Amino acid sequence: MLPQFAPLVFSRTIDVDFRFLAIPEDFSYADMEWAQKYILSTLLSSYELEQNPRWSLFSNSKYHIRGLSCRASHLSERNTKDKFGRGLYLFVGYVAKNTMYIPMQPHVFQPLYQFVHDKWKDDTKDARKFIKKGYEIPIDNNFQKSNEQFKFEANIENNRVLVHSTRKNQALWNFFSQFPHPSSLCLNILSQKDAKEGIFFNVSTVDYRGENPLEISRVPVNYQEKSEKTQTKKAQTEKPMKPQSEVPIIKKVINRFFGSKPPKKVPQAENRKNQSENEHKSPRWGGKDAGLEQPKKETKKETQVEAGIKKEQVIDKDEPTPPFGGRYID
Amino acid sequence: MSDIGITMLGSSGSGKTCYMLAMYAVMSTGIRGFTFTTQDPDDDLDLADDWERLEVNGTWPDPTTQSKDWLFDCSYGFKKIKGFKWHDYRGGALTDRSKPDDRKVLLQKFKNSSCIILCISGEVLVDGRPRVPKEVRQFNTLMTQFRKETGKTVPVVIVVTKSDLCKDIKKGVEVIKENMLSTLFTQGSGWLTMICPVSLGTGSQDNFEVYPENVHLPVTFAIFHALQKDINDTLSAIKANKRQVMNKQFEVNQLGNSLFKAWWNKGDIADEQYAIESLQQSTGLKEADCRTLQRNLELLKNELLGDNLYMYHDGRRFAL
Repeated sequence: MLPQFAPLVFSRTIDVDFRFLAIPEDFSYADMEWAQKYILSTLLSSYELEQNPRWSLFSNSKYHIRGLSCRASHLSERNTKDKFGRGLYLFVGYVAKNTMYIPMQPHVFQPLYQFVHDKWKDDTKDARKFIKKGYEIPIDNNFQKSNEQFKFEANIENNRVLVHSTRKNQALWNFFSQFPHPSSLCLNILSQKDAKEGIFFNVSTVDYRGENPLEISRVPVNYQEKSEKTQTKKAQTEKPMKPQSEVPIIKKVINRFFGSKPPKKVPQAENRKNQSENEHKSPRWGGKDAGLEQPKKETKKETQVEAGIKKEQVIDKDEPTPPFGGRYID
Repeated sequence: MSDIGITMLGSSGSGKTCYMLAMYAVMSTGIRGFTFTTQDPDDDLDLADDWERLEVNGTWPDPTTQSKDWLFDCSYGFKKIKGFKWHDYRGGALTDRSKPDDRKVLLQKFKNSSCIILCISGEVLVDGRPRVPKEVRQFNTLMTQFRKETGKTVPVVIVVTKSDLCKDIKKGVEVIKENMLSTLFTQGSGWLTMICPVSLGTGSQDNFEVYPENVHLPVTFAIFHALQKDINDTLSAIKANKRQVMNKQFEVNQLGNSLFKAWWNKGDIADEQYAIESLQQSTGLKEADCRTLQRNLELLKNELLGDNLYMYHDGRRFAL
């Protein structure tokens, strides 16, 4: 008897955005979330799918999934562009409960495009409903299994990604297809950057040609966080105001009888002030300067601006003032 | 001053990705000294590659599978004016039923944003009787919820993408005001809104000549508003500092209004004077910040001058 699988299809159709079109009958919402993270990782830099379709394999304790992410035109001649004329791309995969070997051949995945055809023109509210299918799709296992057998280090840590050359694709596929533990592999990812952004533990990338696997640490660089850290550091260097309540009583008594030293000025703050004042003295934009200690005219502008904002926040005023010191023109 | 958040959304196929690519392509080289640069150099390469595919090969960007945050800096003469986090919301997310949390996430994004950009394709404004996209209806519902939960308004820029397809843009603006998003233009509602027609160029999809227009204005408007708010906050802080200085000065006078009291309260007086000096230093810094902000505001203002922009406050059109 031929081994049987359930389908997993993630695609958009002519009018409706990306969503699952077909899932296994026992898939829960959490399982969909889990699978979707991997699927989205396979679809990064989608334009490159034309040249290099991506093969992926990911599993947890319940499911083993083998998938192909490619342009729709790789699987079908019709229904391959959305209503804006944009070429479609998608993920099609097979799900099983145990480890399995499915060959890296597009024609094996071609029948799954039927789920896209079935939903192609559906723009009703049912368009987003997915089809649940049992483990009933047979796949002929009389294929010529590749003899390329190698042993690899299977990375199962999420804080790093092992990058291989695409030359080893077949060997990697063979090895991970039989790997009994939860793991993940995606072949033909465009770049090491995409590999880092994605969630696969093991990948092959188009831009890596090395013989040995390359290990990349997956610590996300959060630029916003970095900039906030710099700002915090800057704020820390400025001397905070001495809180009066924290002055010990004994010091107060000593101060009362012997006086206290006058506070020192903060040099950095002083420099900043001077620098800013120098900038202020030499305006570089047509001689105008809207400084605070400017002649009357500029101060007037400031108050107008301020008033504008105040008015903006008040909602039910009879005669609102236009914001930014502007003027109504209707 | 901290970076601001800008959330962009719109229906699938409304041209959000193209608009962002064009905005970055134009602004990375700069307009009158203003530039936008990505905070992550890799993002710069990605955006430049995508734009090149569009401009040189005529390949339109693929539909997007997931929302993404981009971090940019707006600079003048390569000196940073303001950073902004551009949240590019996936097209179909507004009408997605499969993920119940999506709307909550989007509403949270709204709350963290200094400006919301809604893209509407010029195609839907062409006919006399407009077809209101489903996503625009959803947007109205979301804004109602936003107002209900926060009690605030947030600046909204309605970007009319593919505006070259809408022959009479004035009519298009009226359609948006009257038939699509009338709540944003109701007198007394307090909303600050801008309708900005943008275009990437002209021609059919297969024979397209790239010539971006107005693509920098929505973000300029958002940053302008954020700077104005920063100035307002700084001025309030300066006022508060000055009031505190006056109070403390009064206390010092009270503590030392006779020779004996001045001797007896010597320590307290010194403490108060220390506090006054610290406050004055802080005020000086804030005033310097304020001057810089005002200078930047004036520079940005030049981009928004003129009567040809569709800016509305409280339902009334205004100009700078």
